Amino acid sequence: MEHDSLEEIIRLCQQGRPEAFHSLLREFGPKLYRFFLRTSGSVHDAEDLLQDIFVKLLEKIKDYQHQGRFESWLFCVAANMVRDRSRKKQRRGTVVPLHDAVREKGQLINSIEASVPEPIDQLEKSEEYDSLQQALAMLPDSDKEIIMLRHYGGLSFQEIAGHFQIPIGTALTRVHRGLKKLKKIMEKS
Amino acid sequence: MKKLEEDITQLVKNLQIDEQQAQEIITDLQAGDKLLNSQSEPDPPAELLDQIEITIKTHLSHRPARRVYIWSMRFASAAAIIIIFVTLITLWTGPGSVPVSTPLSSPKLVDIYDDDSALWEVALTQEMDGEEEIDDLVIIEVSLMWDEIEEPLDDLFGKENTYENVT
Repeated sequence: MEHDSLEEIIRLCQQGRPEAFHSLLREFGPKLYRFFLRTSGSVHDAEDLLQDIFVKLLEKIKDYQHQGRFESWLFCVAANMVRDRSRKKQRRGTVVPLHDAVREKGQLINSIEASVPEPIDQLEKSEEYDSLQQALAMLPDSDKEIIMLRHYGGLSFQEIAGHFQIPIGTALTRVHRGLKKLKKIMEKS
Repeated sequence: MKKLEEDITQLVKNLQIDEQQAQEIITDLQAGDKLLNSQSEPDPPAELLDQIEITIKTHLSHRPARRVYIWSMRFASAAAIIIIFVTLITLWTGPGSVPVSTPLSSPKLVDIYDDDSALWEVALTQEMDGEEEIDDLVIIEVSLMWDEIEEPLDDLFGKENTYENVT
């Protein structure tokens, strides 16, 4: 999506044009879905969050002032939503029934299978994805969130520091530490 | 990727990290990015995207009605505030003075005498301005025969408006 056309799409969204929102969905939907999937670790949550963010966007887009970093803004909103959901879950003390957990894992593998064209790689890829997911689950939520924001949202360290209200050096340290840890866990497994 | 490398390099320079440590950070970050990029990326199910499109459409199609409702609520509350304000002002200033109508004793006379029918017509008007303000027109018909007049006209109309004065 061209920079100018993104600005135009945002302007149309602010006027309440559905086709403009559909363009945003096509452009950012898959990336947001992956971000939600990786940070929440649940297919069900990722699907819910993707729906929720677009409903939220319908209201929030009016306040957005385009300064060329829509993606960062969008992913910061996404990160806040993941955090809110996680807090709510912790408060409720969610118990996931065993059959749901099995179903989710099945869905996760199915969605990976759908995106991988070569059948030979299927098992290997799903295991890779699973190991990444397992490795991410071992990271503290804050580190995981920072790494994913940088990876999917393309946020710079400056933007990460601004979003989390931490010094830029801390942002760098947390990304560095998180990625190093992630690599180590994956190598071990 | 290039942008990220530049971002890291710039940042490492700004933070004044020594050369060896900077290189180590850059290598680690690049390795981490490579690891994440090598992973398969699942796409959202097509049905989910369709469902979201429907949700967006539904949400936006309901919006104008909601807007009208909000605006009508605003107008209603504004009207209520004005009514309350006016009521309070009225109560504070006390009852308004009763408008004093033009006394009967000093009417503006339009016609007083019809010679043929021997009919007295006294038309008293208050601020009469054409036929539209017919509500303000007060007509007093006095059907009196000349010879039947028993009481002096000044009793009927007041001293200033005797028959002689008005004719």
